Amino acid sequence: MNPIKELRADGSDPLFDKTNMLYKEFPSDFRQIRYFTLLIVQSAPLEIKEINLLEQQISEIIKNAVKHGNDCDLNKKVRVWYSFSSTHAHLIVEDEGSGFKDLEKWNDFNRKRLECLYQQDFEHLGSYVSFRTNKSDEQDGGNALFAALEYWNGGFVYNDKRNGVAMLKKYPQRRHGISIDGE
Amino acid sequence: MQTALLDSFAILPLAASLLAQGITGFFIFRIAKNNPEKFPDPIFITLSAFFVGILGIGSVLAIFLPGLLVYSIAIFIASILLLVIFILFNSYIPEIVEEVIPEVPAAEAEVAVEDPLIAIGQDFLSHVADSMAGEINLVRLLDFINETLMKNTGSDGGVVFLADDFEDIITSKSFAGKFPPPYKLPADLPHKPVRVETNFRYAQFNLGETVFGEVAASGKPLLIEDGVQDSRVIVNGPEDFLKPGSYIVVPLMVKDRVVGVSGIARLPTTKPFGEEEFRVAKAIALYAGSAINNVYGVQEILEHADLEREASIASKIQKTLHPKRLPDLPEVGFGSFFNATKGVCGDYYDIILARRDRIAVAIADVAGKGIQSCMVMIMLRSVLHLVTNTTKSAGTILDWVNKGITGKIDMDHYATLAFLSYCAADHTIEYASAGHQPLIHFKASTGKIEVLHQKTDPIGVERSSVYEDMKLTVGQGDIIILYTDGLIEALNQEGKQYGLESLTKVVSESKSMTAKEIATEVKHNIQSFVGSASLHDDQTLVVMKIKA
Amino acid sequence: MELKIRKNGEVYIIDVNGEMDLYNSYKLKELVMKMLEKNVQSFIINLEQVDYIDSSGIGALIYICSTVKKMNLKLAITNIHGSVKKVIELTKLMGYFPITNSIEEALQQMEG
Repeated sequence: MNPIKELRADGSDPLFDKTNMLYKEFPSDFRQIRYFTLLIVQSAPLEIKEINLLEQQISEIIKNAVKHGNDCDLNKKVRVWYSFSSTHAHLIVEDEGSGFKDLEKWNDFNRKRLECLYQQDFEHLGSYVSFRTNKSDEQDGGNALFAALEYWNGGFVYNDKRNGVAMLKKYPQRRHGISIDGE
Repeated sequence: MQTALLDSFAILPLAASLLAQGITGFFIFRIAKNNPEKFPDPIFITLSAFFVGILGIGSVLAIFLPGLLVYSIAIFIASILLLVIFILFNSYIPEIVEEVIPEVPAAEAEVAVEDPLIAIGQDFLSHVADSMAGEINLVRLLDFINETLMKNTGSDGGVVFLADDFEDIITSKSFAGKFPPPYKLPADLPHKPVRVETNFRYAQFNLGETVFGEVAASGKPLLIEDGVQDSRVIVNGPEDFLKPGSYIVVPLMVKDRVVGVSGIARLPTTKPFGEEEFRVAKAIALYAGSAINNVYGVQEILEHADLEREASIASKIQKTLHPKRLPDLPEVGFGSFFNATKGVCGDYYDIILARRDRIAVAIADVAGKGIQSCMVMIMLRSVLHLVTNTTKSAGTILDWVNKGITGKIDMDHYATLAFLSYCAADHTIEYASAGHQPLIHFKASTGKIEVLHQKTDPIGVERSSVYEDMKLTVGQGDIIILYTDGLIEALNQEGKQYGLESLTKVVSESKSMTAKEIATEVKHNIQSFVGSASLHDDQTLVVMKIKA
Repeated sequence: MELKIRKNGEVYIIDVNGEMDLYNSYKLKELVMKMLEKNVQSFIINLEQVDYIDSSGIGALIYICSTVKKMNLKLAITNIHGSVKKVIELTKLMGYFPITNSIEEALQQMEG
């Protein structure tokens, strides 16, 4: 079984190194979240877009920054550093908010969720499929970070203030068929 | 008696016969060795040994019983004659037999059994060509593979799995007949034939999971003669249709890659599969693996060609949408610099002389890449050319463009757009922007640069977005610059952006040049800044100089 | 995003067309709630024409699922593919959602 993934905060993580990354910044306009995402992901090579999975994962992080970080305040900025190649996608997203306060609560919640999954306990799982804080509203799915931890397989880490997050995804090369390892 | 031996007349024939026996024996041995197919060894050697033996005994006995010498000579002659006849007869045997029964020697018999497999191979090759005519249809090919396997092995059921391109899973793509599932069915699946079949038809397994996943992981074919006894096969229930029979599972491979897995089954009421069916299945699996690989190969070529073609079509369309020549009027001059990045098709600019009294300049940056952004660009240009022909203000024009595009198409349709309309008679410019980069105004009278910025929505966000005009007055020698973010965000080798300051600096320094010359100055400046670093976005610059 | 409804016997099939994102996922939720008010007992949500879903879309499906479970009604989500399938796998909800690979299977399940 895979080690349980959890969110962590470590500003000194190498993923926060911004050298050789492109940069864009946006006002925290909720209506333009998908547009901003498109501006970022249009630089990515076609092979790693996985049709639109990369775009979708990036839009979640930007949405979090705009909505939960900056409260959709048009005067607050979301800053994005990004770099793509045929084998990797690296992003850093920072907002001007006070940080992800419920990070530890989220980890506890996620642990319980993974336990239910491991035990195949679908009845209790129902209480752990959507993480909500008192700031969440009806439109929030509460499941973006569950997917993000799985998707960003090269690391997903918050800065010390927890108002910025760095992530890396490494891609395998496409191939037809499975090579035999030899048993 | 012994003195009889020394009689010269008895010794000579004896010595001669012994010699002759020796030579005969030697030659018989040699012939037998050199023609193993004509002389079935054991029999011949036995026979020859027998005769030589008889002669030998006879000769020895003749020492004591001279009378026997005659017999021994007779036997000796007889054996020579028999030998000769045997040799001659043997060479005739095959010919006689062939006339009577056109029989094939053992080696040729094996080729006759393999012939059907050669024909199947040819059939496969032609079917691959079929499945590529019109469109690449891998599923049709897989159905054919399944059918062929089942037919040639006398199977009751068959399934073909295909390996996923990215993950280590195999998915069922073709299913036919009656196939007692050898894998564990979901616990909540009712044991009804239709339900079980549907589950099997759409099944997916990880590498190593179930017999199919095991074969995919190992690349080794399996023959399971009795599913009930075999631990690899799961008995899902007491029902008749679930009782396992015999199975053959073969990997479909090319070199050392498993592209799929084929399974065939016989019901427990049918005679189980044996080595012969296993052999046939393995041979067909080889052809199948090859055929699938061929289809993949062609698909990849087409995809690559498609992408190349799309990029080149996008570029072509983009070029046609740009103005061929910039108008050169007595009151105002134009210059431009455009640098496209392969496959992007993002930037658009145009100078429209739709109204007699006004000149319109538009610049846009469509989000996204390729044909999709081209389509948005075409729509944008069409609407613009239509509405510019009216007396409406810049802001209203943007509003119309926005309403003409937003919510109309089911795909990414965002663009920034800046539009200005110049009236030479009163030297006024009406300017409106939809989320675009600011307008740069170099005032000749003060020598200063003004940057006009509007915080507005790009096109495509909401139908209700609001756009307003800004008015400015220009004088002789003034320069107006419109550009896209690809220009100022261009990076050099050190990762530094070109920036707005660099642009305004070049413009200030080139203030006395014509619009065309100014555009060229900026072009050289940015090219030397960027150096050999690669660009990831289109760059556009439009220069407008007030001449009078 | 467009929503179309059709019937197969007593089962209502909702064909979703387009993208289920943070701007329009509420529409599916609202539609299902309306249908529940009209006492629909069996639903199939067909995502064959959906090629994009985000956390809001997943949230809408979660909400619909739990409501249907509470009311003891029948629901199936079918024809998920591409990135939609990947997102559901990433959130590990494949076992939680009543997913079938085809409308055929879903209908069979509801009859049985």
